[in-house]
Amino acid sequence: MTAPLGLVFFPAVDWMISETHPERQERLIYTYDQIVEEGLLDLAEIREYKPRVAARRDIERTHIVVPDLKDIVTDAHLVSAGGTLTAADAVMKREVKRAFALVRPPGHHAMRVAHGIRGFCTVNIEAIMIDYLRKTYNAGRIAVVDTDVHHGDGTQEIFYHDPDTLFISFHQDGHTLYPGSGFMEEAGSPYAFGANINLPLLPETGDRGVHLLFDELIRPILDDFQPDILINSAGQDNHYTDMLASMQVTAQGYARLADKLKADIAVLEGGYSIEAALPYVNTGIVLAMAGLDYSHVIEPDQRELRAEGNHTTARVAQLIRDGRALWSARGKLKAEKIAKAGSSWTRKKPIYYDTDGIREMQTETAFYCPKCPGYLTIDSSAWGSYFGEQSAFIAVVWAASCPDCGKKAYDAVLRAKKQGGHNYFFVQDKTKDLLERI
Amino acid sequence: MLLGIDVGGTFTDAVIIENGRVLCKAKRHTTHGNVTDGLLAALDGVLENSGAADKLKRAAISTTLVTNAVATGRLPEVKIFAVPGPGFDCRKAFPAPPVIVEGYTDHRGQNVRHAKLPSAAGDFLPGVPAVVSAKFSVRNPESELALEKELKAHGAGKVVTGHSMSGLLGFIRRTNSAYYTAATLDLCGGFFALVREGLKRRAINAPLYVLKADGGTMPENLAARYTAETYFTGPAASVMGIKALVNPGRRAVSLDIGGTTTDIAFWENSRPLFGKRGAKINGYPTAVRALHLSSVPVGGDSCLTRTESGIAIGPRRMGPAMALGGPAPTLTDAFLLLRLDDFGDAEKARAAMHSLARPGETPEAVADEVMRTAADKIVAVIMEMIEEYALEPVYRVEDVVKARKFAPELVIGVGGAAKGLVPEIAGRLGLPFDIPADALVANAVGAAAARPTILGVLRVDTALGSCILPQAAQGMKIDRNFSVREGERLLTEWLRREAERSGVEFHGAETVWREEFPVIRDGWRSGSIINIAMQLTPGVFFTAKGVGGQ
Ligand SMILES: [Zn+2]
Ligand SMILES: [Zn+2]
Repeated sequence: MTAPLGLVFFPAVDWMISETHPERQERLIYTYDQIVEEGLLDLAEIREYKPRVAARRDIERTHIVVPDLKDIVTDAHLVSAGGTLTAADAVMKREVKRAFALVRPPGHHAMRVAHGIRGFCTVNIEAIMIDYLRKTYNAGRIAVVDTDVHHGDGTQEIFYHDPDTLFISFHQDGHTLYPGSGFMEEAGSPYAFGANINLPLLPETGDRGVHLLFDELIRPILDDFQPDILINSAGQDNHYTDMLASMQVTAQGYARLADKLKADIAVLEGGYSIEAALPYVNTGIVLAMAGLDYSHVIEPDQRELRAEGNHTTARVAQLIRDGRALWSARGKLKAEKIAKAGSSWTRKKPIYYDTDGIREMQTETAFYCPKCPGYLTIDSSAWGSYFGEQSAFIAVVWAASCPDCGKKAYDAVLRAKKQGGHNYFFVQDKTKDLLERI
Repeated sequence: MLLGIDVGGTFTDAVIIENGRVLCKAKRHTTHGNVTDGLLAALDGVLENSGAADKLKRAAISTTLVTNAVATGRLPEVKIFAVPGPGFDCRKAFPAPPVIVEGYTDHRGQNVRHAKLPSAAGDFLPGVPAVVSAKFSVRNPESELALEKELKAHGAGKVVTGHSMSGLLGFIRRTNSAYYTAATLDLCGGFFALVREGLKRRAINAPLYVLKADGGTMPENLAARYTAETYFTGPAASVMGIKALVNPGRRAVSLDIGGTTTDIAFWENSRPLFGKRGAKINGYPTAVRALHLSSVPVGGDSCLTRTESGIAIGPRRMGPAMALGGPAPTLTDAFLLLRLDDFGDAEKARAAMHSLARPGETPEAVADEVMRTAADKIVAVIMEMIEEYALEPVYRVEDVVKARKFAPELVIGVGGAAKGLVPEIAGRLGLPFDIPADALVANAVGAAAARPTILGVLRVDTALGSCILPQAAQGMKIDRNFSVREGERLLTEWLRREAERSGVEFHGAETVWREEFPVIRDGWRSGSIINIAMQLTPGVFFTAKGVGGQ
């Protein structure tokens, strides 16, 4: 029988960044208490899955960890990433209608190249899942809706050149919150222009604003894009009690959103109000995704909940206008950007790893080809507290790259190696599903 | 000397054990309608050989009474008063529709809104048993206790509270346990009185114990209060019998191959493995702790039919084997023909197999096919159980990364058809096997041998200054520095007192699990939360490997 919901529940009660860090061992214990006390794991509508351990290949399909995976990726990350793969398999094999990977540690701030931990994230568990879906199930169009209060800058970065992965993130405006990015101008590289949509909300936005934005903008865009697989980066720090941010969303707001979104797979991201929010938000999302009544899921304490002001609603209205304009003009804008870029497109990015205190400077160049999506090179240098300084030169060969581009990518790395000036050299070759050290 | 009695669906068995030996045993038919007759017959069977009535130190009984009462659906009306607060809509989660009571206790055990009985609640018939169950009552039983008082004032019959059922989380499970307890209080009370009466008539004054689904026993007075715990005790009795008869030190699979079913259990470190949450009664999840068991509808009396693709085994039972005068061919007939059994008319067994033969096929070939088919079915379920066990969710990184598949090293067989089937099954698995003497009365041996079990749960929240032992509805104020060790000492003391209160010799307690994590407020540690579960060390009074009663 196909159960309505597969739940991969993994609270990782023996893993923490530090004892008082928001990402600490008991983060999901109160949620566990609530879920078990409610009896959700006993319901016929919910099938619980044990997460598997992701393989090195699963991680390296997405990431280049410098100098090596084992330097920063712990068993906890392998299980949390493995949990998303278990969820993906359950859905793709039709054992369940949808799945929720209620796992930690989270991942949406982790970028393609990883020197350490940023925004509590080491590897990007959704991105790993998406690359796995592409590799294993030949998935075509994938949409991600990131409902975490922080901009999902890692997921954006990894799929910035991919026109088949639509990334939509609404979050508290980067002028007022980590990581500081996530504005509408960041709409994708020329070849993937319009497949990255950022919706920065003002602090204090609540259920009304978020649902207005969803109904009037996100839903129509999703209907238009028609993804084969819809993923929810289900962060829960928009909650009115979250101490890291300043939003006013409730458990009902999140549950109704999950109900409307009907994601094939949801993956937990942030959410640090571990006692007052997570037990209720997760219960709401689980019930909504399982097609069960969630209308009784209400926080017992709503004293901190405030009414939304006119300014937040005005911002939502502005975003709906701008978002519609961007979406409808994206084809024309994309053609213009590609024409302007010519044979390659380069961006320079400073990346700060707040958790580890590492600074990275990257130059990323997408090379275009008339026959294929081309290839990518990344020149990365990082200065960190525990390794001093390290640098890497990397090329990425896309799954659909032509043999010529594949060769050019390898040549670029060999050339860099000959020139010296970097410590490590990699080719992430998606045609071979391999990360090669050169 | 210890007396063990198993009142099963077909037979009532009794055994007397002395110094770890089965001194004597008796097997009589269960007398439905008047259970006492069969019980007395079995008692006479063991007493006439031993004359030991006054030397018995303990009498223990395993019974399918509650199982049968639930199966026939003849349970009295029970009113459920549920305090779910916000969350999952539980109105359809119980065997009877609940009266929803306003109020809420949160996951920290803080009483957010006091429970208040609706004004119409007093209208139900006085004398009707009632269940009071509140979400998170194991973190704070106040609201259940208040409602219990109110209901009693309204003239309710017996009131069963959720927190007295189990100290573990699972509001719906506790409520269902309380429901089946409330519904069988009178039934069990009556039955235990009959048993006691029967024992008295044979001059047995030893204290009476009753077997539980977790393979432990409890004294009669507790059994009369926690009646749902006596559900599903047949397989538990046989598992404890295996513990007493074999005590497998290695990883093992045990098979109790009875008349209509084969019950499969797994063993590790001389202990049977437990189910993760609790038994289901009539499809409803409960808080009744139970062993990790699977049941396959293959037994000695399973009737055989010829199908296009081979031979179908069971699941029906039409009567005993043809070799024993039954109406249809059975597994036992096949064993008899293959000389794996020697109890019955071999010619009738041959005729039974012949009736299933294809043209030109010998009865022996049919018997062989029957045996292989039966072994296939059981081996398939064993493999499935191993897979399922490997997929049981765990919540620690270490438990995922270090997980190993359960790999049995020994097959143990008890029950009437074990001799016929276990060697074949062990051969398929490439494992040695052991069929203990007295395998036929393993259930009664298990009842006689099983030690009492009590599981206690302690919840400490030093940030709130609270410490609670929900089953005792006992709370106390504690200070910031309260430690896990102090918690374990407290819980051990409680277990010792509970043991003494129920006339059980305390022989140690063990921690089942414990966790401690900090409570962080504004970046500082403001206290810690400690959860501990401990139990009386379970097991058997004796292990009698290799000592038979013949
Ligand atoms: Zn976040
Ligand atoms: Zn090319």
